[in-house]
Amino acid sequence: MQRIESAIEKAVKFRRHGIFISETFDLARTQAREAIQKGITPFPVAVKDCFLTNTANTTCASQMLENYCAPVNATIVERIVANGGCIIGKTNLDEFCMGTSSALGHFGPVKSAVKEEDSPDDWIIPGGSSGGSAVAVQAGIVDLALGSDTGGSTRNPAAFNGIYGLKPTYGVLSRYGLIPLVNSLDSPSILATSAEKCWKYLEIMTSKGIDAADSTSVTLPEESKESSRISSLKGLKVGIPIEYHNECLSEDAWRHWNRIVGILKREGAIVRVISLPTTKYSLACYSVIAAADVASNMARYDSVAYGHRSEKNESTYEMYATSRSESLNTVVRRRIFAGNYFLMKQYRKLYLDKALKVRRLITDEMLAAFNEVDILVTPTATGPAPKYSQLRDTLFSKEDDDDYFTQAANLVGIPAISIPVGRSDEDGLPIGVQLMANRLNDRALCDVAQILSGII
Amino acid sequence: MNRFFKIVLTSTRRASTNGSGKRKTPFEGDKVHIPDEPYNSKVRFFICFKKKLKHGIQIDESLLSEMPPIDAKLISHLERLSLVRFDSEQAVANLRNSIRMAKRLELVDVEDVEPMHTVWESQECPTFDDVEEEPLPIDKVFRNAAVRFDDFFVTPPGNVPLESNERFDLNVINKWDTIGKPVAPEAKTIRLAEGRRK
Amino acid sequence: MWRRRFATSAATTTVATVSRFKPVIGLEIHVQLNTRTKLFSRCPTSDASPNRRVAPFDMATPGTLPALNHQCVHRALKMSRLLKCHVPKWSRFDRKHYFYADMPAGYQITQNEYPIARDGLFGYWVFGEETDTPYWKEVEIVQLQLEQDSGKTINILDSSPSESSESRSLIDYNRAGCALIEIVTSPCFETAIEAIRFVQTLRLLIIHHNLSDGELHRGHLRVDANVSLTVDGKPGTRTEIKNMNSIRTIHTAINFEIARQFEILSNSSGKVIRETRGVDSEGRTVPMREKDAEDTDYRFMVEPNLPILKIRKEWMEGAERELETQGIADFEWLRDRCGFDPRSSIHIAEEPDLLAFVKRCVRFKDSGVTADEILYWMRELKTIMQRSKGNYPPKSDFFAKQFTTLIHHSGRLTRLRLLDLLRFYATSSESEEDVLLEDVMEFIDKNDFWRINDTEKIDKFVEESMAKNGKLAEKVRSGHAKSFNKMRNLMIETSEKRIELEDAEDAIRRFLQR
Repeated sequence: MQRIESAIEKAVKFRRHGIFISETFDLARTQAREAIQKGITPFPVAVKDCFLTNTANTTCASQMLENYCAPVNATIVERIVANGGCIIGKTNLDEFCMGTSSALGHFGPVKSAVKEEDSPDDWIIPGGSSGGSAVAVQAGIVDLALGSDTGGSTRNPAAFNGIYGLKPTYGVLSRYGLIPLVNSLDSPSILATSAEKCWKYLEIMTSKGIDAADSTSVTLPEESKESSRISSLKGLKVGIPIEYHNECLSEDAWRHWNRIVGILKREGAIVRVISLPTTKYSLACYSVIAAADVASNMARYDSVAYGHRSEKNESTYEMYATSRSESLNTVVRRRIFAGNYFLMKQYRKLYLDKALKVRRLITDEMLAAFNEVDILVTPTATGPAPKYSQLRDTLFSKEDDDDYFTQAANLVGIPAISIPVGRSDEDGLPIGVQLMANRLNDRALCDVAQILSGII
Repeated sequence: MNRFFKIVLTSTRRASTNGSGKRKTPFEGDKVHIPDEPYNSKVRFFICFKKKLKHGIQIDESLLSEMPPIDAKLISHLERLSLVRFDSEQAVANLRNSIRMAKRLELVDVEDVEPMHTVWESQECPTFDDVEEEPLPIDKVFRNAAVRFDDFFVTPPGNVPLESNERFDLNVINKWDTIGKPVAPEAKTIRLAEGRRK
Repeated sequence: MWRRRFATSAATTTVATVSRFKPVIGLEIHVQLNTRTKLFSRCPTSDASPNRRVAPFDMATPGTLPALNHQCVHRALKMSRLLKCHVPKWSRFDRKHYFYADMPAGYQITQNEYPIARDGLFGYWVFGEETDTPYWKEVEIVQLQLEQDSGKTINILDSSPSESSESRSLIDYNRAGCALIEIVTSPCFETAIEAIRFVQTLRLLIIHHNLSDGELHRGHLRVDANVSLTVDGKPGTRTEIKNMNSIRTIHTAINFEIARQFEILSNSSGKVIRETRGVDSEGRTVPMREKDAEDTDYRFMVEPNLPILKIRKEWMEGAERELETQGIADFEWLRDRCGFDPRSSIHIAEEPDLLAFVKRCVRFKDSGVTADEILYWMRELKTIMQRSKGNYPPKSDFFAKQFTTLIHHSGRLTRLRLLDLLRFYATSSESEEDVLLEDVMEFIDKNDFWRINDTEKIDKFVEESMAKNGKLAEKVRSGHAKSFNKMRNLMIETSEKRIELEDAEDAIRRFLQR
């Protein structure tokens, strides 16, 4: 109970960081009491506001869902609560998870708490789209924050905030109740203060087996949990894809990455520089697939049964279009347009089908790499977190640059974790390195991350 | 031409601050374990680089098919398909940029490659017994509806196509890279959502 | 009145088409499955007040996911077998995007590229007006797909001219997400009759195998027709007709559309516009206020939340086993086992009361009674019941037994006696409780109603009648036709209808010649 009260206290203290869209302190207290009654130790949890909760609003940081209260809970929310999780609040994000800055949502930006703020008009970007969840963990409010990861939305903010962000294998965590960004890429994900904790929470949320409500769910093979455990880095086969040192990578990020590879070698790992040549197309591939799915997923927001409704009442379509234009931000609208363009009958083959084929090439290439190596080690982002002003000045194009490092894991469906490895030279901002393993090797991935973190 | 310089300038400006695009040096005492020369991931640069070597030209987009001009018909068609309105020339230009990004895929040879729609491709669709569960209680069905009449949802009159007027300068859109004046979106003020509606 | 008008126009068309134009008709039939729950949610499908049958998924709650109903797959497999379709090893679901107020997700989950079944060939009998000879036709089934139904919209029109129009639509999601099977045929029908006979046959099969309740007017079966005319063998522009909610409407609407297109194309500059047309209350097709086909782009994409649907061998076997257990449909039984002609088989099977009656008759029929005899005497019975304002057909087992017995012995009774007996038994044994009568055989025996076949006996009746009615006999002798008939009737009457009409006439003639 003490832990919950202190979490609430901290949440209040950090309010100016825009971490939460909804605070659910009473709910957390109730859940804590219920856990204690069941003999379970309660622990504070923050839930990204794209997971449905039936007692608190779920807004996706959009005016569209400003007052939306869902009729059901997301499966993983149910599961974490059943195991003692107490929801302190619903965390802020990029609108409908589109972005890596958590800056443009309807309820204002999330501001990083890694350093003291120097100006109220500028701040260090917490990364995104799970920015609020990452800061909630980094600031010590919660032990666990639920994020979602479609192209890096958990790993990116984990790196920017110096914490751990695990995107499990696609399908391992149920997507039931996760408002989709891109259905075939979305992975509910975990933000925590260690790789070990990431695994622990993953285990809790998968302990009841697969979720029947999500037909694409898969189960982590029991045997893999134990037999694939890794206790030493000795003999571990590590791949370094050269394409991840691209022209956008900063000196800082490269140096830390290079240092980690050195440590791995020192510990007896067998390091190989490999090539994944199709990686350079992953951004284009991702952008087309994502836009098409977004256009489709967003079609439901028609303001009839739920959602922001405009006063315009001349015709059904006029009402829809005006409501949607009024309440969805530029980024969301941009993807809807692009997606519908790629889905048009005269362009579908040219773009969407092509992108899906390139996805297979990227996948085949990466899965082939896992025949040779156990783990891929790459940077998580181009460098440390930028400032809001920097992003604005480049019209947020830097978001794409960062996506480059994380998207492939989603396209392929493999588990990936970002671990903090140091600080930038100039500003002392956290820098992360990403580890990726073959599908369903989530346990081994977390083991390696844990061992490595112990050495750094 | 212009765009090319712009990109180069941006990237050199960035390079000067964080070393991106340049050869890297490890921490003191560390060896070089990762190739220290950056790899060119951006197709545009890649082509440009190749062409430069071969023919001494700076950029050649001819490898990609021509960007079709955006016309008023496409704009209104997309607005009807999306039921969203473009709010500015920049919004349409953004679409153009998204298409250009997608065009990079033209350079990938995908002959005999099947589209990959999902991660677990051999997974079977589970099926469920035809056994009723409780439907939502009526108050939950209407909990979030802005308009309700008796136990019905309400929409304005249907079957009227969305009006979509020509209102953009197509020239600005199609030459956005050279003459467009992009405006960055602004962050809003931090606030909490209002409490749950009862 | 209107029926006759369209019948005429259809007839002219038929003549005209022989020369240059040939109608080409294809059907898209939506069958609403009568499963207990919806296609992708376990929400009940039973009737209820508006929006009382809505699960989170059905109202497109973001983040909710589809969960496929096994029973729908099972029924689709049965349907595939009935329509002799090929069932591939796996199928897949797609999203079809369009905005409609009663379709909450902005897309429909359907099967476009890889449907559950395809390439069927289904044979059935086509029969037109009474005199035509029925013929066998095979319809090509292009594909058969599982898909979601939409909700329902009630349009409230406010005709007041004021600025602040109160026109609006009321939306009910109860039906949203219910399971449909869409059957797409190739454009293989040449006449409206061919099309409706297929729908009728299909409907009876669907009901028999309990796949759907099959009521057209309740929307369980929704038929859209694509109609075009080929001009000198070249394909023409087609129109799509929607909202036909009875077999008769399908017939009249298709014929109307053929005639309409014919009229347009007969004019050398005439052009048929590709459009969707509705049907008015008189069965005429009218343009629907819908976005033109050119503008529609469904932007199909693979449904990402459902893995491919692999059809297990045991599923297929289970479907086949159930079809076998259920046996052939009533119309097939009537046609193939009882010898009824195709037209009557369908007609009887479509009328539950008639079917029940025929089934009772068949149960009691002796091997000597043919389907044609049953049909013949049913028509007579119908006339009798109409005149006596009784219910046709009588519902009792008892009557059915007497009916078949009478038919069986029809050769030993005069027609008039038989009709009398039918009338008597039908009006007094409509339902089981009313039956206080003895068996008809006993009754006939007791009253000696058997037909007199003996010529001598008949001649005797003539003699007696002529003798008794001297004045009339005079007129008969003089060749007065009316009197001849009167005398004949008198004879029949005095014989208590034991002399057949023709026999009586022959006997009088014989008497006169003597």
